[in-house]
Amino acid sequence: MNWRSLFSSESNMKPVEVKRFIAEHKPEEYQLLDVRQPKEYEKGHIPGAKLIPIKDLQDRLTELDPTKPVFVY
Amino acid sequence: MRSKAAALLLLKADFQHIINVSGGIIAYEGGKAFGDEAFGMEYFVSGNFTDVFRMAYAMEEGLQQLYLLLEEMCDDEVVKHLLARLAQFEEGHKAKLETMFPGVLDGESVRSDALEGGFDRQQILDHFQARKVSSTEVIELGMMLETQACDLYSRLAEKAENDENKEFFLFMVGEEKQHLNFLSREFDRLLSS
Repeated sequence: MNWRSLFSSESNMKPVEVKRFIAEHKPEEYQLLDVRQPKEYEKGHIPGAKLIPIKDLQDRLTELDPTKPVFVY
Repeated sequence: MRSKAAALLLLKADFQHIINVSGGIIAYEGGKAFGDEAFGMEYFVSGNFTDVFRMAYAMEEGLQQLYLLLEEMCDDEVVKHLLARLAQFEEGHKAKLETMFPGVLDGESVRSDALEGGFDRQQILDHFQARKVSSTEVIELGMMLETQACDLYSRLAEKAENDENKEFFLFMVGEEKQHLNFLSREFDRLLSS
C-alpha cells in the first residue's frame, strides 16, 4: 500500500477500518498513539497503543517515528 | 477533540501520516477551525509589544467568556460548577499577566471574540447549543484549546520580530503548559470520582 498517496497529511478513519488495518499489517509498520489520560488508558485502549497524554505530547515527540503512520485517538 | 489537537501537533512536527481514529472521543466537526501554519497568527499581525500583549490577554478573556456562556447554557449543577471553576482559573491567568507586565493594558478594556489558540467562540457555542454538555467534554474542550494555544505561541516565538516579543511568547508557552497540567489534574479528579 502506498501511504503517501493515501494520506498526504492528515485523515480520518473509523475504528472498524483501523481494526482491519491492524489485522492486515505488521505492528512495526504503524504506531498507535493514545493521547488520553492514564486513567482512561487503564480502563481500555487499542492493544499496542502507546500512551502519551496530550499535555506531554509536545515534549515527547521523539518517542515516535515521524516516517511511520500514526493512528491517534 | 484531543486527538485533533494531537494530530495538529504531529503535523507541525513533520510526521508524514497521521490518522485520526474517529468516534470514541466526541465528534467535533469543527474541522476547518484547524488551520495551516499561520492559523491563529492573524490575531497577532502587529509586531508592537503592547498589541501582542493585548491580544494574548484578550484570548484568555475570550476563553473565560466562553466558559461563562457555556455555564449559562448548562443546567447540570456539577458541570456548571466545573465551568465556573475554569472561568475563575482564567481570571487568575489574566491577573498574572497584569502583574507580570504592569501598565501594558493601560486601563483600556480588551474585548475580542478570539479564543486561546485562535478559535472562534461562536463556532464552539454553536456546537454545544441545544446539547447536554458533560464535564468530560468541557475539560476536553479546554485541553484542546490550551494545546492549540501552546502550539500557536511556539510558532509565534519562532517568528517573533524582536526579542521582547519572542520572550513574551516563550513565557506564554510555559503558561499554557501549566494550564494544560491544571486541566489534566481536573480530568484525573473527574475520572476518580
